[in-house]
Amino acid sequence: MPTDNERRYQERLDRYTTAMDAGKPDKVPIRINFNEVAAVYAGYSLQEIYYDFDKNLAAGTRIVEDFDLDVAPFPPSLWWAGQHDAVGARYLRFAGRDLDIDTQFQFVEGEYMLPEDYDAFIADPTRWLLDVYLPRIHADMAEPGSYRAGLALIRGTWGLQELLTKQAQAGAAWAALGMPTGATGIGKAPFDTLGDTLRGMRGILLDLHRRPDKIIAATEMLVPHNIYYAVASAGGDTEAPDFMPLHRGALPFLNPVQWDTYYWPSLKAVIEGLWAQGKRTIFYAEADWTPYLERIAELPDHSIVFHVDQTDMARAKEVLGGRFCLSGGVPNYLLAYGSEGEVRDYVKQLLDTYAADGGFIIDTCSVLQMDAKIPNLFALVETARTYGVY
Amino acid sequence: MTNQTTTADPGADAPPPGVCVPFTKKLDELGGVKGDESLVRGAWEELDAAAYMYLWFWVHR
Repeated sequence: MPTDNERRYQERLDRYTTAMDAGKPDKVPIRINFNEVAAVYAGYSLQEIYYDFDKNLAAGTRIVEDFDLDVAPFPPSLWWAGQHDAVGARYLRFAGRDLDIDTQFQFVEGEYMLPEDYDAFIADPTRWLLDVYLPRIHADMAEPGSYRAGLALIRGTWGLQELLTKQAQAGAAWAALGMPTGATGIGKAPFDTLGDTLRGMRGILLDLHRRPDKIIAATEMLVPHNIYYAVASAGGDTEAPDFMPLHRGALPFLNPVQWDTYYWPSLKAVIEGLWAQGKRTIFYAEADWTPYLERIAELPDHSIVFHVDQTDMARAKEVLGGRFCLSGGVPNYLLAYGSEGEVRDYVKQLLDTYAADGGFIIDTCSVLQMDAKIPNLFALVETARTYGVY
Repeated sequence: MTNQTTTADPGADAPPPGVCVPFTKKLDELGGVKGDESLVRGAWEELDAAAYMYLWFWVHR
């Protein structure tokens, strides 16, 4: 005889999976990542949730307990600041260390991979990461072979293991509370792998003009690595989708020819490679992807959940609906500046317009920010739960 | 920030995803094993894959 939480877990998982298969479940699934807002709700400072991973996960537990979501959110912070301090990370600024205790983390973008690194990176990327990249991004590893560098490697490795262990424990705890995981594993578009943490936006945009052949060679090389990492970081799980935040492919970073040439082929190959292993992708299309919907429709049926941020949702439903689940739809500005009544009205209209046929998961449009009002989040979830019944 | 760079070795045969040092190379270093090779291989490949994930974690963060 299943317990109430076991029954709720299965109901939620069935609801979520049916929608991802573009079907019509009993209710519209609700998936919201509260991020740092969870810390606000739980009464923690951001410094506390960045540096004390137990408090980070405790804040997530408060969300799981108090909000009737269908899948568990990510922890409030994906970053454990101590793990990055342990290696002397140059690319992140954290509350309570460099920033005020309630300021969100800041990513310091830079050209951590130089133009002249392309050949070595393409020839043997894993070796290049250890030989060149880590000493460059981690101050404590600047002198490979030194006592300081050796300790940084030990601390960093131990820190990652501890991070993964605690995240797994949290997932198990939230599952025991009746809430399945919304995503497992992290994937990237190969162009974003280059543009996010290696070449940076300035570097990758210059490369489009100065060394386009290197971009093509590097993104092709990255395809199997990104597939492997997405599956391995999910621990081989294929029940939940992979989370794939998509960045430089949004309008207007690339023109249509550049998008077709440099962004799409390797991204498509990664998604198809994951799907061939039974792993679905949350195509988290940050900003506007309207011009590319027809190309995205080339993907195998059900292989992605297309997340709508600023993409024209009506057009997305027209092009992708029926074959792919859509998610998103609730603008962050409404949650920050609207009233509870406005949120309730918006959610009803959203569900009427886009959820009637199934294949829809309600979520915020983009990553939730600190200015979201808690009462508005309750209004969103309560309205979606009571009105979103098929 | 250091400016250390490396140049590509056109003869290099990069290991596949999930591998830093292939077991075959480790086996050469060991000069063979007296017992069950699969036990040695399994342990090596598990920890070598963990090393691979550590290195790529800093790219995919």
